[in-house]
Amino acid sequence: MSILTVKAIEAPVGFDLQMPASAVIDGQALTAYRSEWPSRKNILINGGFDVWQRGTSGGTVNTYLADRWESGGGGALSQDRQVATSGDDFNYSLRVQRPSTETHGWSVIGTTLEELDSLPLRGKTLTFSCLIKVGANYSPTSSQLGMGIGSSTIANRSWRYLGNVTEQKTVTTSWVRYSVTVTIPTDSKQVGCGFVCSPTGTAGADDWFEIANAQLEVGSTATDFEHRSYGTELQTCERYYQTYGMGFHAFGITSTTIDSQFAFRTPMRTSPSVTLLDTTPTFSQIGVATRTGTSSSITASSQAADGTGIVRVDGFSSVGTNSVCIGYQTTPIFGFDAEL
Amino acid sequence: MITEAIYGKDPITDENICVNAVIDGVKWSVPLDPDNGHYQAIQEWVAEGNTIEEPS
Repeated sequence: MSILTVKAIEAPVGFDLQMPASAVIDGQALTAYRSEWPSRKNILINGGFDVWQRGTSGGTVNTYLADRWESGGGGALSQDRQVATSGDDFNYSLRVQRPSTETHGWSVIGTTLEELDSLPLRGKTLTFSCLIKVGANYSPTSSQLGMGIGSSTIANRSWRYLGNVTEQKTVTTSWVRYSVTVTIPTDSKQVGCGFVCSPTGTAGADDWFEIANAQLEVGSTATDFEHRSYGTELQTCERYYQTYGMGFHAFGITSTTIDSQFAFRTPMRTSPSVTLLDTTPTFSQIGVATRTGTSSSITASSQAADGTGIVRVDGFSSVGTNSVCIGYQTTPIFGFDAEL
Repeated sequence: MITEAIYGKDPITDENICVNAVIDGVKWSVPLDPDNGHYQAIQEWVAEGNTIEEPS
């Protein structure tokens, strides 16, 4: 046996090299990917639906549930994580369902890339592929689901601003991989992809579609899904959303207010918004007692992409003025959001 | 959909440093950063004729 080292694959003069490039050498099929995407064939973040920092059920319209995937639509919908069954090539899928008896007309789910990740894709041909299956009562005409790649000359906007549908797919109750291919205009500043469902009539008990192993890649053909480690995917998602409940620094300001400060685990895309995920948050006033708020709210905050100055929360009692505190619960108190 | 928007003050300088807003039913404290998605939504809401309130 000999070892063959290939340093480059070049296209004939006058032709573009299509990637991935394939070759057969001594009966062995080989595939080469673009060198500028050596370790990240799948451009999407959380395309495998492994990361669910906001929860695993109860997602509604115009919200995120699975990290980086945003819903929208003309009425009520639910989003839930589904656990794969034996033999599936993934851990989880995302189900988008029109609730029973609902009569609204459309729902969407999609994900977008920020400007820094979108600009290198200008002028390139991209293929978006995904496993899809639907419920027994899936209602759209001819069992169709719109699937597409969108782009915009305006950067860093919600998916809901560029939810282009490029093709209608006829989907079934079994997992099938579908794909669409689009060339991104050279003046684009943002790229995204997703799905648009157009239900009909009144929803039955299983009027839903499910997606898994979503992938956006450079090239004109869909290739095998690229699995990434959970740790890698979580850290990447934290650029857009992260939560804190335990161990962060805080200070008692008055008997009723506590200021919290954070140096983010992962620097965020931009200055994030912050929400209080628990209106009865528990802090520990170090060496004294735990302090749990009642109907607490954030009264002021100042934050940058890499941390906060103030997140002031009220609703406490008996907190020591100028006392040292820490966040003291295993469930999240704060959610920081730097989504598009 | 934005149903409430009130400025939040820096407790030391008394300057507006955020907007405490209810967006799609969730309370957010939003930085005054044009790259922040919630702040963009608030600016569109203001452009439609709405006003961010000063805190009482």
